[in-house]
Amino acid sequence: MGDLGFILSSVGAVLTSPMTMIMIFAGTFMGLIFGSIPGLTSTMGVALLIPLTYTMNPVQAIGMMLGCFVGGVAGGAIPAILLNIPGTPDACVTTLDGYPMAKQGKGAKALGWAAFASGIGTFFSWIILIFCAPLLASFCIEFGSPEYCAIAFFGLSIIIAVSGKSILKGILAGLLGITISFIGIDPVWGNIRFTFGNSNLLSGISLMPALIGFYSIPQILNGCCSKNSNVEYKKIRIRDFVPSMKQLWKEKITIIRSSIIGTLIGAIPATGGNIAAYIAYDQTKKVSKDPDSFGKGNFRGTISAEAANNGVCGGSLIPLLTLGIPGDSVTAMLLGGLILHGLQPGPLLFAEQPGIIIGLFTSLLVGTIFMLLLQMFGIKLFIKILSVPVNVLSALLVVFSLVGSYALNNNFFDVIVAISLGIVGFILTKADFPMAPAVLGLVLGAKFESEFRRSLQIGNNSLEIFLHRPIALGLIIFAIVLIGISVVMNMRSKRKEKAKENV
Amino acid sequence: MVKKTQQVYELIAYSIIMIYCSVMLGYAYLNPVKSKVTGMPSYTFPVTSYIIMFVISAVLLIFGVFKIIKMVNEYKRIETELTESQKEKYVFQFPDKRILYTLGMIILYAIGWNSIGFTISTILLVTCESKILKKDFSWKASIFVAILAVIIVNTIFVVMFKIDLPEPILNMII
Repeated sequence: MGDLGFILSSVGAVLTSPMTMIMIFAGTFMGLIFGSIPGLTSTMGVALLIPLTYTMNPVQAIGMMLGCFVGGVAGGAIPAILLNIPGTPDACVTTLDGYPMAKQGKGAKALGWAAFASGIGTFFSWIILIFCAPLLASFCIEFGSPEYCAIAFFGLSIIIAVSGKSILKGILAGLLGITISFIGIDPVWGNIRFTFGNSNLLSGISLMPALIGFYSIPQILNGCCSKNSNVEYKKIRIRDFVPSMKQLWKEKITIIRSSIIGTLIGAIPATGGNIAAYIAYDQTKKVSKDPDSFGKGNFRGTISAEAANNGVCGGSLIPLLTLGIPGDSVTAMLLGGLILHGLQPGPLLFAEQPGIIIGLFTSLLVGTIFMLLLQMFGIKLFIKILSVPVNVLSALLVVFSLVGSYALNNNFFDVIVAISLGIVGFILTKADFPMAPAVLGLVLGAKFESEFRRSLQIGNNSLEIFLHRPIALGLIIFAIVLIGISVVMNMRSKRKEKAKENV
Repeated sequence: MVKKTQQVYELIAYSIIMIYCSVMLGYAYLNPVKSKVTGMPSYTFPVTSYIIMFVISAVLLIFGVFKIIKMVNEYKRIETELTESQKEKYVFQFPDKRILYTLGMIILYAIGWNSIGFTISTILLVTCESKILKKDFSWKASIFVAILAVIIVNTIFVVMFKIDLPEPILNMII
């Protein structure tokens, strides 16, 4: 693969092929649409493309799917910012600061920062992908149950940071998500837990209906009384959306740090953009000079979340292409696509089909650029969503949310789950409970439990196993330190608020 | 100062969590795992989590009740000195009727899927919801949006994804 002439010719084969560029553009556009409609996800989009791309050549087909992947992840930020409903699970964290920014009339700025952070995050992870793929893969393959348990614990520790004003409410919400993840078959012993004899609960509560329940339905219920937004899309100019070079340079540390987090988390199988976004958000908040402004419209919160969740795009391709291990549900679909086109991911793929590998890397970069351009020039269209009367918007969101819950497993029970959790979510939001910890708990709870129990089995029921695994120990200590810092910061901010009230 | 409305919702939330924990703990007690396998028992983690949740909710519920009692007493003392907007903080604000209508329609919509089918339910939901939330919205526009929604959803989910949306009545007719 090292021959420069060969690399340039493989890159040129993609860039000079109109059909390939059109396919990548179409995939990216489709991904943006799928990501921006709550109920649809990039996983669905990529799954749909597999049969549609059957007759294409491998680079065109996988390039289209990669475009859909990148577009889908970035597209989730659009409804997260404009409607406070994450388009995809990865965009939950974007709602924390993105929506407050939109309410303050800075919707275009939030979308612009989200788009550019997504683009830079993907680009950064692309660079790491092409230069460090085999090295990172060999490092991550050493991960066992103690390391996965430590990562899950680290992710769960973020619950404290995203709890907002009340840590206890955040812990309760987090525990709610964690306990919901226990429903179904015990991953270690195999017995059935908390199903109440209902066969629909054997596979547990799916993430999509829970996300729609916790986020979409409460937002629809609260939003149906609101007036239309007064954002006038006709007055939005490109310069409102595009951050200047000076502004981008000023935020370089936040973007690069979040991109690195996204890439590293993405490189670890079975983690995902959701966790990366939470961790990056937490880190940005902790090093910020004004941590109290997070959750109230601090654009750095939006930047860190989007850079991280799109950084996962390149990162998750590392274990996929080098080891054949998908990093998340989307890359699991991509794996299916690769195999369908006669490509067996693994070390041999790099040696035997270097032209295709370079073609895929080029497609990822092209998809990222298209994603950025589509968002730049489609900004007015996206903001026009706000001009749709709220009575129509509420009705349409109900339809898409419930159909989205149903479509995942073709099961009406998921609709019941979404509505039930929606009613609970509505009451919790009225009681000022944060919903982000609930989603975090649902995503990580079962994983933490299963990896913890497996670690104990390996270590003969002794916690000492964590002491003998330096990576796991390091992550656990780091998580405990971060919990302490979050608690102290929370107490300080409460004291400041009390002092302001007394003045 | 936290408004009374939020405090009441907090009490409802804590109560729901406590009931949820009690039901799940009851299930774990009545359905023990009989087989013996190595490692941590199956219910250890969940039961520990439910107990922690129950205790935190119970403590917060008790504190919440005391806070509301204190607020009620304070309101009785200073009621005559308060302006109308200040009184709002001390009085529970019931949810807007539109929220209740929307929630009711969501539930009826879901029930309607299996009885009258997705297409008819969606047309009814979108038409009624858009009219109820904005009375001067024209019927023609409501029905047009409803039909458009059905076409878009059918194109994406039924045609492209091959998802079977329930259509008991239309399947009989067509």
